[in-house]
Amino acid sequence: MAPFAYLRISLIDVPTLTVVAHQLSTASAMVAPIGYSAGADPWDAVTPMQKLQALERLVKDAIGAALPQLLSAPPAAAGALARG
Amino acid sequence: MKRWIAALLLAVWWPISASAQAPGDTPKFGVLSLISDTLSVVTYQRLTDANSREAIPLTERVFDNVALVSANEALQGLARSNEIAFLSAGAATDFPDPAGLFDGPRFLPPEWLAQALAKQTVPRLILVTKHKSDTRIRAPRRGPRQRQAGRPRLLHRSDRVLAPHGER
Repeated sequence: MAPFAYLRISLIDVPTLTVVAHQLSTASAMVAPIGYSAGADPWDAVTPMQKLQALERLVKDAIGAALPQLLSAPPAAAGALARG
Repeated sequence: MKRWIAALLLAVWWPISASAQAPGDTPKFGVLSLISDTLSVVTYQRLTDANSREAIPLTERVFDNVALVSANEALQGLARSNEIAFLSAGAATDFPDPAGLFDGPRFLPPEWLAQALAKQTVPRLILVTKHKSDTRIRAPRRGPRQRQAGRPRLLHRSDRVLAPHGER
């Protein structure tokens, strides 16, 4: 099973409702328990808690990686730094 | 109904990091996550060589909470003086289509969010939304570490695309 989290993290200037910058994250992971047979349903290969933890980690990693880049944009040039 | 939603929205703003600096000296951020309305399950169908897609509604804000906590950690890691306010949508019906939130550099908040933001003094909003794209899952290379008995392994880097079949 391969949990994935496709996220857009945006930094928005509230007074002007302008997107200062944004980052796109298409993170995924592979969860493969040992002993899993190819014919089995991949959904049942891991427990609900393992699914939850895998997705939580993807979200956490995506945001942790995106914010430093978003906030490194110099204010004067921020309007031109929308990126993905 | 909209007023009720806005009231609920405002009720969940709260500062999570006190700052000793004078007002105006510290960057302030609002953080809002809109990713916990549904969970998408994409399944490769071998017979048709295509993916099926199922949306599972979520009743809990688990992933939004994770996003908020993660944003807090990241912002505090950048500057301990960052003062942050959490923002939360009131109900699953409040989650707008992510594609409709942006028009180039313009942010187009739904009415309930625009009203809430207009009443706030937070100058910057960090918004986490879903990003629709082709579903691309990378399979790991087989190696000795995978053959270790025990727990499932989470692998974040690999070099082979397993299922580039995706829908928008």
